[in-house]
Amino acid sequence: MSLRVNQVSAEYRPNGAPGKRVLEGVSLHLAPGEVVGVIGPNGAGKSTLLRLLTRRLEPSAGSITLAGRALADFGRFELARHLALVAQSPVLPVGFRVAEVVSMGRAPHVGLFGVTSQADRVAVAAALEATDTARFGARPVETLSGGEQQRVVFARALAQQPRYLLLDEPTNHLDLRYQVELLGYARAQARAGVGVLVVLHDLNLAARTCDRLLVLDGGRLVAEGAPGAVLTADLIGSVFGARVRVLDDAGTPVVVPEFGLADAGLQSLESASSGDGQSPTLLEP
Amino acid sequence: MRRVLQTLALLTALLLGTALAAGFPVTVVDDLQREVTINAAPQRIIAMVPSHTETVCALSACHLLVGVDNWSNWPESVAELPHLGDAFAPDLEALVALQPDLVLVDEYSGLHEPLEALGVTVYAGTPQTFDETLEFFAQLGVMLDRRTEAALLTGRVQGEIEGVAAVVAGVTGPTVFLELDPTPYSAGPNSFMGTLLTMAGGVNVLDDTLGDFPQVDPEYVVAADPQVILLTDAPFGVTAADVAARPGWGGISAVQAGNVVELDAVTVDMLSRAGPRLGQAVLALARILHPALF
Amino acid sequence: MNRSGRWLVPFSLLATLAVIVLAVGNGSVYVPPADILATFGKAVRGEALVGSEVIVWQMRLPRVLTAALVGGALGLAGAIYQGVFRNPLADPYLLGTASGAGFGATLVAAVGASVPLLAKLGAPLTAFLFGLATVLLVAALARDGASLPTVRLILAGVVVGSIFTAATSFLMVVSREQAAGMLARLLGGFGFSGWPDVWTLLAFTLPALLLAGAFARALDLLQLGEEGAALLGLPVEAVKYLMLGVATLTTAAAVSVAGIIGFVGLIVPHAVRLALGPGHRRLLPLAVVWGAGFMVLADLLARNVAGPVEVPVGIVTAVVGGPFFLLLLKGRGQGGAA
Repeated sequence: MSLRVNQVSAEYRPNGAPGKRVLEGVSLHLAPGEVVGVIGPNGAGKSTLLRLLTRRLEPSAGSITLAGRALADFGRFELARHLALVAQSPVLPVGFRVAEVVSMGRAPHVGLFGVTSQADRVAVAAALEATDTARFGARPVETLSGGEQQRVVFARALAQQPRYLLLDEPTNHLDLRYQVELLGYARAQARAGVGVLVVLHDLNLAARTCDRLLVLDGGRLVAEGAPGAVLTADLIGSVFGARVRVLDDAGTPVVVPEFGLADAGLQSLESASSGDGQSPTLLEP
Repeated sequence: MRRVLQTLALLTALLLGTALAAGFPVTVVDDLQREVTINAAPQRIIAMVPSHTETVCALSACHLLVGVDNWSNWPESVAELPHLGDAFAPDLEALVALQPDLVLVDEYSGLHEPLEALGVTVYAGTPQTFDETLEFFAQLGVMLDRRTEAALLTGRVQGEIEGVAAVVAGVTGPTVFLELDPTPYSAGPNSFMGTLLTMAGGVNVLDDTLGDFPQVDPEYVVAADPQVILLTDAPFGVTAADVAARPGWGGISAVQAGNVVELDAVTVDMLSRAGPRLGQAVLALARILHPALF
Repeated sequence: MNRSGRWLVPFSLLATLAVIVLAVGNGSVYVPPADILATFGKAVRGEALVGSEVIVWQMRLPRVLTAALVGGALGLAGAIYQGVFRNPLADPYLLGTASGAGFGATLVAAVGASVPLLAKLGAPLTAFLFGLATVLLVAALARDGASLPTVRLILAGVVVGSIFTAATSFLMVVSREQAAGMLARLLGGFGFSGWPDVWTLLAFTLPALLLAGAFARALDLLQLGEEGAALLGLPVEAVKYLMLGVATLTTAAAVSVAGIIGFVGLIVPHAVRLALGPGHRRLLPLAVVWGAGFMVLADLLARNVAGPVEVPVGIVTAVVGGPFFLLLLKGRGQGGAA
């Protein structure tokens, strides 16, 4: 039942000419019930990966299979019943009520000309419930706050009842509270058996949310594993070009960026090295 | 009484005209209130309005024309003259290259401005009503040193009109719908064409409250039930059959009696131009409207 | 936002019917409703009609029905264009249909007398063909492989539309005597609408409404953006081609019968959306009903406001529609959909 990406490469080919390689020989698998995070600097190919998974782009090499079948073999609606994507800045259908927007997520099940059934109504209600948006049901989406709107988009994805949930940097423009909330919903979905793939910018959120992390850099997969194993100061330094220290919080890494040695107050902490699993040293106020 | 006065006026004009034959330079005022000074009898005339072309020729000055506009087509001899575009899209360079000493243009096209700037003598004006037409004959006669011819022309046209009026006097004319265009546009009784229609003994189905060139509701024509329909748009392809096919028009008296007249291009030209063929235009209409009398 | 739309639908239908009856009864000759019914009866029984009965049956009724159908067609086309382009400022003339159709009609008036083919086809058919050809040209120009990018469509539509408009103006300039008539026809009117026009429009508008109605859900999904809709499985390009095709055919039919009447296709769907929300299941049929009522009213004014003199109906729709729409916007100002 896994989603598998096998040695996939992708190119952008403007006007059909051979173009830039954006992904090179990437492999990954996503099983139901796990939360996998994809991190990497801008241009690493994270968005491309999502485009490949939603068939907006075709791989120039390699294959993608879902539950053993080639992704290309799925019908449009069929694929949408398996995969749902929560986009970075989704388009808001102005004027539609929240419940109506979430109901649009049932399209893969109802089709273009079908009639909605009890099952559809139940799915929509469940999605609203899971994201705590039922109380906005009758309100037009544009009257909600940014965080609330993103929850609605999430609910719409849930209404698809997908096996796999793909999240494309869903927390970028949200307040911290909503970031945490949304990722909480993602984890809840994983517990319910959905396979979740989330692309994140924030390394700490990634560390806390994901069971596994995939690190992309320059189109290649450079690291894979549990957050604690992947997020080392060396790796972060070489991939992101940033000097950090990685502290440990009960097994979960905490990435702390360094702002240079000029600050005398920090010099005493220079000795605390990163990535060796020791307890973090408290900072003097 | 009116007849006597008119004859007297005619004779006076003739005498004065002869007396003042050598009256240059002369200054006239055109329709834009411009003072136009003509220093000597023009020898190279350009007319950019078809009615002006006709009037110039009717004043025996046809041989002085060196250029006309694209729409001038009467008399036939003007076909050989250079055609210089029309009022709104003139060929200025060609016009000036002909070195005219008098250019006749209309007052709407703004053509007088560039010509003035180039130092050309230009008269901007066109007669809009029947009376203005007769006055213009006289004024052009002054400008071209053809006063006698002008007076004779005026007399002739008036004579033609009065001749027709005499025949149709006392006869109730048929009700007429004058169609200018298949939208339909029509001509009200006070318009130029409307006036000619009245002189020819026709009764316009439009009353004078509708303006001079109204776009008419087709229902109104059906309700008015004219006895004759005159198609001045026939030269553009509108036929009596087209008219009969219009919803509701099949029952109009004119259609039932076969009195939907497709006017030919020559007649339409005569009817639309405020020039020397006015009398003939009225006569042509009168023949159509009162076949028994002509 | 007023969502009790249940009463609005039957109310709209009744209101439009009432407007139609009013329009049939009023004109340069007033005909009371009882007489209208009597005439109806006579005509249906095949008896000969006299006097004002002719006016009612052969002129007024087809004229009013034509106006209703043209208004409905434009309202529907406008709703579809606004849905596909996801822009409430889109109108049915965006892709150049009207400019092309206007050129076709003007061409026939200008040279029809000397070109037998054109004279045979006649102005309405020529207008229709040119209207279609224009959009096909625009689509061909805007195509990018298999897809039809929205921005390129609009740009191509503006460019091609401008070219045809310029060509039409040129024809008017060189056809001096006919220019007034050409302009009046371009500005739109129902002067000589007859029963053939009614059947023609019905043949286009009814199937268009049924087809578009079937795709109402697809149009709703498109509001999620083309990517969002594609992610839910919608065959976006196919839906765009189909819906734009339906809307264009309907618009071309309307313009070829009645000229270029502005405003209706823009504000009617917008007004429905403001009153009832953007769901296409209700938006599409109501756009037809409101469009019909509005156009009949506009035509009623066009032929009565200045006595028997007709004002081109396109002027009326702008003058009446504009302020009405501003009022509607003001009322919905805060907190409603924009």
